[in-house]
This record gives sequence, structure tokens and C-alpha cells, in this order.
Amino acid sequence: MKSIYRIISPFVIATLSVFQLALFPMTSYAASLTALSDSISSLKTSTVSNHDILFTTPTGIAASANVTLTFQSDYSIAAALDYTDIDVLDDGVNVTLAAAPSGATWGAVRTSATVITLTNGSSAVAAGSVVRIKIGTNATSQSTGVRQITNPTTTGTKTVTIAGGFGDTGTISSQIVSDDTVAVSATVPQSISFALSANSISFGTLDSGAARYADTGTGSASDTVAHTLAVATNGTSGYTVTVQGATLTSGGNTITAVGASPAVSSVGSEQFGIYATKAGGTNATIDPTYATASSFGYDATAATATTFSTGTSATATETYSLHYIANIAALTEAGSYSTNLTYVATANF
Amino acid sequence: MRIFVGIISIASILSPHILFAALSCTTTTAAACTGGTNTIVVRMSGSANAHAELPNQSTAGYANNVICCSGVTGLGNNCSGTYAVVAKLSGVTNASIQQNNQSGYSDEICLSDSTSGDTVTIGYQSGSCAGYDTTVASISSVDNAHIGNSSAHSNKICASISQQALSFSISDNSIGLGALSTAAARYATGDLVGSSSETEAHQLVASTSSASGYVITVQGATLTSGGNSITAVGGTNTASSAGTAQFGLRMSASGGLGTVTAPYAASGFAYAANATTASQVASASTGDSVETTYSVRYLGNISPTTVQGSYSTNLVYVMTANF
Repeated sequence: MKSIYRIISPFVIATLSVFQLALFPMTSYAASLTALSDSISSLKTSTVSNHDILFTTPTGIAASANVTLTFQSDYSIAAALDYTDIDVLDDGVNVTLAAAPSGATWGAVRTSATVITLTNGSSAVAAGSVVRIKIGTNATSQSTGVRQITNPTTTGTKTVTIAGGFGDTGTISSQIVSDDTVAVSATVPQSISFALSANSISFGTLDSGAARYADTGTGSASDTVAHTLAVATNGTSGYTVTVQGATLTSGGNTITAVGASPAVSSVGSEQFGIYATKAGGTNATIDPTYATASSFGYDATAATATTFSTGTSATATETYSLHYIANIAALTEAGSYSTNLTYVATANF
Repeated sequence: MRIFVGIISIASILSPHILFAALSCTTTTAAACTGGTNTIVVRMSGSANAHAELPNQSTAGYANNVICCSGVTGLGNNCSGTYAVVAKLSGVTNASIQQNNQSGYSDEICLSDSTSGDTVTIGYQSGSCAGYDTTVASISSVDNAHIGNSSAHSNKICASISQQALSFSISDNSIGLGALSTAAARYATGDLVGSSSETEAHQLVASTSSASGYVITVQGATLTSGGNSITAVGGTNTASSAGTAQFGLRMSASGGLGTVTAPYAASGFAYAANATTASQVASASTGDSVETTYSVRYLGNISPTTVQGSYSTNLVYVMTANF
């Protein structure tokens, strides 16, 4: 009889085991958390950081159950950190936090320099839920967090352990490094380009009966572009172009410059003047003396430069087309008139 | 007896984890649980329906049935450092036992692991410890219970030790593109001078043992000088274009299972992060503890209107392991 019992006993045990597994699926009282991660805003030692902790709780979080986040001892949670610096999301939905649980509101407190305790309110978190906990300035649900957690002073693998009365447990490791930052530097050198399309222009023979316009040939009876100026710079404050030079002069005789106020051509009256138009670039301004189409001005002298144009920021090439006029009076002295006008571009870095 | 062997084999197939787990617990004598990584977690008055005492006790009648765990370097029974509470006892000896999530008992029995990065997990399941490394012991109920060996009771105390090995390093924390030009691209170098040909500026080296791998992100503004900046390439991999303002990076990976994330993986350059938003640059979907070395290259181009000045930025690289 004894030997029969010995033979049957294993069968009975085996049968019971199979019976139990088949009819009573395993009930999980507590389990290992899954899909854990802690995204830290900086891995650098001794640096204040935000934490973005994710995990899936196989058991769920019962009403009134607590969840503890225990950071390795050399982390330091800001002393004043409270629920306003924390967000808790249940399957992507923010729960309401306060210092202590009440109704559906969770409690969130800094228990110590390394422990934060979250206590569920009256609404259980379902088994299998994804829980996300943001700590620091990344917490923005009820208010934007201001207090953070200071990283350990030493490098290496550091952990935060998740446990508490809800039953599930898990640990997340992060690698703290001496420096997580790559400083990138570059220099943009100062640059300015300035070019004149021609260095010699002529009106040809002036006439008290008709205006003459300069060009690179023998002058023109109609308004035309004599030459261009091209300017570009990466100066922070742009550039300035000036012009300097006497009016048309022949020995002791001169043709009167128009002056600062632009004027249209006046046949039979002495006039020497310029106007310009601009193309390309960004925001340069032609000085009012030279800015009105078909109206000419000239207020520089041999000794005094005047502003021709001004740019206030870096610009790609700006091209100025310059028009020159000369008129003479009946009594303008005969002679060969000329002048040298000097254009200077100055970048403002 | 043959039938019994057959059932054990089926159980093994259902829980392959148990066969290969590093952590293993068994019931043996105190005398046998010495040396190596052997660690007594709790002492019992018998193999089933027993009372318990803390591992630092020495009651003679508890020496023949101790829960002995082993297989992990650094294993211990300390309730400090990296540890998990296995259960709580009503006293240091002759004690009843309760799960660690119950209240009332204050004498804790623990499993600890002094190896940095390792984690200890305790759970309670009915019937088996499927999903865990090992069954530590079994208890007659959740609270005010008796203890027994792994098969004595249906409520199992389960344990796992996860060896969360991970590493992350940056080979150089200061790089430079030198003097940028509208005529030709510049590439960053570790000597800060920059190069006219594409070259590696620095490396990122990452590895993890985590089964779920890791991600690496970068965050930081584009190159900036006061209120001026060099336009970042953005989230589309783009070829260098001299004369057009561009700041971007690209990477290549070697070794391990890590891969570069689009748009940083192709031959052009990209930069989709900014001062407040991170951009993923690399990841590994699983961990093999083999280091992946990422070669990081940086591009700088300027336009004629890029304002002169000294430009800089700080790029923060963060590795997040997924466990």
C-alpha cells in the first residue's frame, strides 16, 4: 500500500499542478516594471537636470497606493521641490497633483534629498498602464516647474529605483559623465567688397542750350548711367559710402554744383550734379541729395566728403547706378573742365 | 517517475528564463551556502509551512533550511545600497512573514547587489515565477504567512537581477570650424581650426546590456553670435551648399548594434534640434554590451550676408537606456 502511494503521489501532484495552471491563471500581486527609461536633460556631473521617467506597471496602481522614486544617494533633489515641479501622466493623461492626495488628486512630495513619493488618489491606475513622471522645468501641466534634481558629483552608472506600496518595482540606470556637451565654435571673418564699373567718364562738350550727361564715351544728350558702384558687406551695422571732390573746374573757373537740394536740369544755368538708383541688396538708403530720379545734387567739395548712401545691416551686393549732369550758362568761361571724385565705402562692423 | 521528469521538462520549456538566469535561489543548509556568490537570504524552521528568521541569526533549528541565492557578482543580503526587500518578518526569529507591500512587520529580508548599475527586483506571483530569474521561496499567504521552499506554497516570491550595464562617452568636448567662407564649406575639427574637407570632429561611444537598447539625442541652438545665427540645415538631409548659410551634422556608426537615425545617417547634413528641443541622432533597438562608435562630422557654410563675428553653440548629447 505504501509503495502504491509513492507511485500515485507524483501523479496526483502533477495533475493538481496542471489543473491549477489551466483553471486558475496566475494572479500577479506585484511584478517587475517594464519599458523603463529615464531621459535626463543633462548627463553632466553636478548639473541640475530634468527627469522624464517612463514605465509600464503590470499591476497598476491602486487607489491610495504610493509610488516611491529613490534616486541613488549622490543625486540631490532640490529642497523646495514640490508637486508644482512634477507631472504625472497615466497613459498620456495628466493627473492632478497636490501636496497630499484628496479625492482623485494625487499627492506628490519630496520625502528626502533622494526620494520623491507619489500617492494615488481615489482612481486606480489600470494594470498595464504606461506611467510617465516629469520632474523639473519639463513639468508643465499645472504650472511650469522651476526646481530640478542635481546630478551626482561622480561619473558612472547611477540609478533611480521605483517601488512603493503599489507593489511593482524597477530600477533605471543612467550614465553620468564628466561633460555631456560639445562646444562648437566658428568665425565669420569681416568682409566688404566695393567696386566702380568705370574710373573715367566724360560729358563731352557742354552747351548752354542743352544739358549734357556723362558716360564712359564722349558724353550724352540724354540722361544715362555713367557708371555703377557695387557694395557688399557682412558688417553688423552695414556700411557708408561717401563722395568727395570739387565740382567741375578749369583753372580758376568752376561750374557751380547743384548743392544739397536736388534739382531738375535747368538748361542755361550752371549745374553739376548726380543722382543714383539702387538695385539688389537689402536696406541701404541713398542720401536725399542723390536719391531723386532725374533730380541732381552735389554738396561735396574738395575738402569735405558727404554721405552718398548708408546701409544699416549686412547685405549682399547693392548696385548703384549713377547719373551725372552738367549745364552751363551763356557766360560760363570756356575751357577744359574736370574733377576727380573719390568714393569711399566704409563697413560698420 | 518517468512522467515526473517529463513534466519538469515541459515546465522548463515554458520558462526558459529559469534555465539561463544568472541569479538562482535554492533551499539548502547554512553550511552549504558559503563561498563564491552564495548568499543566505532567509533562514527557515523547515522546508514548508515554516517560520523564518533573519539571515544574521543563528538558531540551530533554522540551519538546515536556508534560502541560498547565488550567481551574480556582488550579490548580498543587505537592506541598503542597491537592494530590494524580499519580504518582511514579524521578528528577527520564529517569525511570520508578509509581502513587502504589506504593513506591520519591520524586520526586512533583502537581496542586494553591489555592482554598479545592477538592479534587484522582487515580485510575487501565484503558481510560478515566470518572467523572473528565480523563485526565492514560497509563502502561504500575502500576510501573516508561513514560508517554505520554492515549491511548498502557491504564492511565490520571485526575484530578478538586471545587470544594467551601460556606457556613454564623448571623445572631445570642444571642436571648431575655424573661419567660415562663402566660397567653400568648412568642417569642424578637434583642434578648433576646422578643415576644408569633411572629417570627423569627435566620437560618441555607447553601449548597453539592456534588451531594449538606447537612444541618443542632441539639443542646442545652431551657431550663434549675439543676435545673429547661422541657419541650421533642419530635418532633411541636405548636401553642402557653399554660399548658403548651413549648420549641420552627420554621423556614421561602427561596431555594436547602434545605428544613426535619419536624417543624420545619409551623406548630407542635417540639424533639427534647437535650444529647447532635442533631436534623436542614434539608437539601438536592443543591447549587446558591445560599444558602437559614432563618428560625428559638422558642416558650416555662410552666405554673403552672414554677419561677421565669433559664433558658437553648446550641443548637449544625452544617452537614455531603455530597460
